[in-house]
Amino acid sequence: MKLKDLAKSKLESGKTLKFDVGPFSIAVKSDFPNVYEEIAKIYSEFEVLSDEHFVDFEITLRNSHSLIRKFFRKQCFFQLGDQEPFTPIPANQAFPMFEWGLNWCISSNAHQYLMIHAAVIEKNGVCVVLPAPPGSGKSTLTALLVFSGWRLLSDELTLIETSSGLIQPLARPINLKNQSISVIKQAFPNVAHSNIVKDTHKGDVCLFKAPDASVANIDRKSKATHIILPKFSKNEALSTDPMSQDSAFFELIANSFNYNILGLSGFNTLTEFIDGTSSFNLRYGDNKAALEWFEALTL
Amino acid sequence: MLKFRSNTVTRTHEGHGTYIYNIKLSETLFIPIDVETFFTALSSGVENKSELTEVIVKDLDCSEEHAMLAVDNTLNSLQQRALIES
Amino acid sequence: MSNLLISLFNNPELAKKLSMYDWSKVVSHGRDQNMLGRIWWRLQSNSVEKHVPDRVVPHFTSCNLFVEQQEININRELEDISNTLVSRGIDTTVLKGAAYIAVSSSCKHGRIFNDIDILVDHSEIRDAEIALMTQGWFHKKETDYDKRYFREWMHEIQPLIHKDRLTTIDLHHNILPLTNKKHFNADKLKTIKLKQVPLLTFDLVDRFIHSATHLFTEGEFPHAIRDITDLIILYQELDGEAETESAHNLILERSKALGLDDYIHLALLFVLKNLDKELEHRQVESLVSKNAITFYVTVPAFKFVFTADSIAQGNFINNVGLFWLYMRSHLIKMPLHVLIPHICRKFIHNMKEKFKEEPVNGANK
Repeated sequence: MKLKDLAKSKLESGKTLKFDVGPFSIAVKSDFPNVYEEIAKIYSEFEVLSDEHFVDFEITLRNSHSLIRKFFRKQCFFQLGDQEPFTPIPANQAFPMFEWGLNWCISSNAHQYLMIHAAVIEKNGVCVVLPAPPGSGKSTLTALLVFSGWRLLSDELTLIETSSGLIQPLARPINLKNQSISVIKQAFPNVAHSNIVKDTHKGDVCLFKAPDASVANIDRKSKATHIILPKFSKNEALSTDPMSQDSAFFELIANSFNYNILGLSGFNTLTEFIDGTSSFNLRYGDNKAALEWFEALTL
Repeated sequence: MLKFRSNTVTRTHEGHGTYIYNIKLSETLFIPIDVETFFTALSSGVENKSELTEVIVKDLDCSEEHAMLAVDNTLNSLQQRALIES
Repeated sequence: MSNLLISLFNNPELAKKLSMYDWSKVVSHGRDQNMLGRIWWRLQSNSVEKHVPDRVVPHFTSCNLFVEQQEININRELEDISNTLVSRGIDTTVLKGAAYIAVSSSCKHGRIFNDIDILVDHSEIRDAEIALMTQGWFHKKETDYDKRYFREWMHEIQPLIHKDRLTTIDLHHNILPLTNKKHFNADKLKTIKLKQVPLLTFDLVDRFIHSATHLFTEGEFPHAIRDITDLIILYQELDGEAETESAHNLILERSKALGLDDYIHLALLFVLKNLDKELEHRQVESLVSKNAITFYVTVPAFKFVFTADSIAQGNFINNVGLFWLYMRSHLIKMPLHVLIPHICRKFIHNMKEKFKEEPVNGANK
């Protein structure tokens, strides 16, 4: 059964939602009705789990304990088990907080993977990893590609299985900010997305649902073929600059969550991973040109 | 005696170079020499630099001068990161 | 003792009987309590790790990777600390987590900790601090009050953080605060030399005494289960090594000599209960029962801390008990004439912070 098939009574405040997100089974409980609404919409294609099923991450998005704060300038607290790793944020940002919180849960704990802060997409066997610091336009580019037919493996967390060197998909929503939101909405008016949440520490935030086909292929792991570092600069002509293998290698380490924790296993996984890949710096100012360039890779 | 510090691991990728990792120091390094035998020689230890130069000349079919430069640069990089036994 | 983690720790065979729902709880509470690594070590030592479902194993092995890397890092840090301090003639004793690694105690297995605890003589604390600062360790921004609080009253100075590696050193000059009426000079504690670096650590008996004093003067218990299992393991290690006298007698004698009966008897009460040592447990119980408040208030409060799966989910009585332990810890640390101004000052400071713009950016704590 998928989340979209759940009865409305299961989607009320205080109820626990249990579902698989790729290799992770999560349980979510909240005081805020909109969290349930958004999860049901954005994660509609994900499989629901039984009450007795094992849970990797027990997540709670709760209201303040303080009586005044329960009603006035409401806040949302994120909990994993009994731990509260973050300071609270305004309650209307509860769903983005769920997303950021789940990123944190995975990147802090899932050391069976070498984890890179990067997007990863795939088409016709061409699997591209896009590491990118904030402001590079990575998420907008990812959204354009994914809604134009590329498979989404992940928008934020590239999970490299240490046992096989393959990338494990998550197919979680794409996180877009500020102007990117309207760009993608205009280009793809039929794509489902969350409500736009204003005034977060990142500006306006909106989460775009992954295509059904990406979710359906969540168990299909891929071998990376390309590592591309995108840099958007308005009106700039498209140019590519091949990167040496070792530059790409160290770029991945710089963007990794846990290379240092994995020690030798991280080194072995990453050297194996980088073998056979091609890497480029990509500068572009026009989305259409960038899309075409990526399509050419798959021919 | 020129030898890698113990607990040093290497991975050579043909056409690119060799990645090096020391477990105790948690150091990661890349040397743009893809001659695997050069690094295995360093792992087991060599008496002097000329043994290493020989390996490079043989494998890359280059001049002794070029080989010596490569060897010197490599040893400098490794020594800077405390990866050569002293 | 009914806590799921403690039950699994004391009886690893239980792994054969747990349901997937139980394993969810083991992972969740284990993660909260920093017990995942220790549980895995226990299961492996008893050859029952194959009974852990495949789905659950990654949580344990992930934690292990962390622990292995930690050991590598700590050994490197200890070498650096030893080069910095011992070379300047400052005798340095390594405590707690870093010490367990240095002596390869069974306590080190699966144990994650944040800071490196070291102890130097009170007269040398300023020199040690300066020496470490020359090697790149610095204090976080501190107020004048914090400075006084730590230096005049406490047994440690504020943490020193390395500017590049971000490791933290807690520099102690004693195991008890100066304001604690049981305070004694740290040179009364017995040390042994470490093998691989010229640093010292406490001998087996004083290792137990130190850990027990620490836990039973605490007011907050973020990982009580990890801490009590530390004591259980240390007791068993001592018992295994002790030649002429039992661990039990050695600890009681030492506790008396140092004047720490109030804390050590409590520690023994819970350790012996877990180890099913009935005779010794009854003996300690009769010692503890001599004080009514200890027996009827403090002991039940600690019992809740060590048996609840999650202390956040206690009832009203449990919460009163937790509050008592919090107050008790403050009363232990300082006499009333120091405590009251301190609490008032902290209260005013916290109120000021609350009226400022509260953090609304979901920043990492």
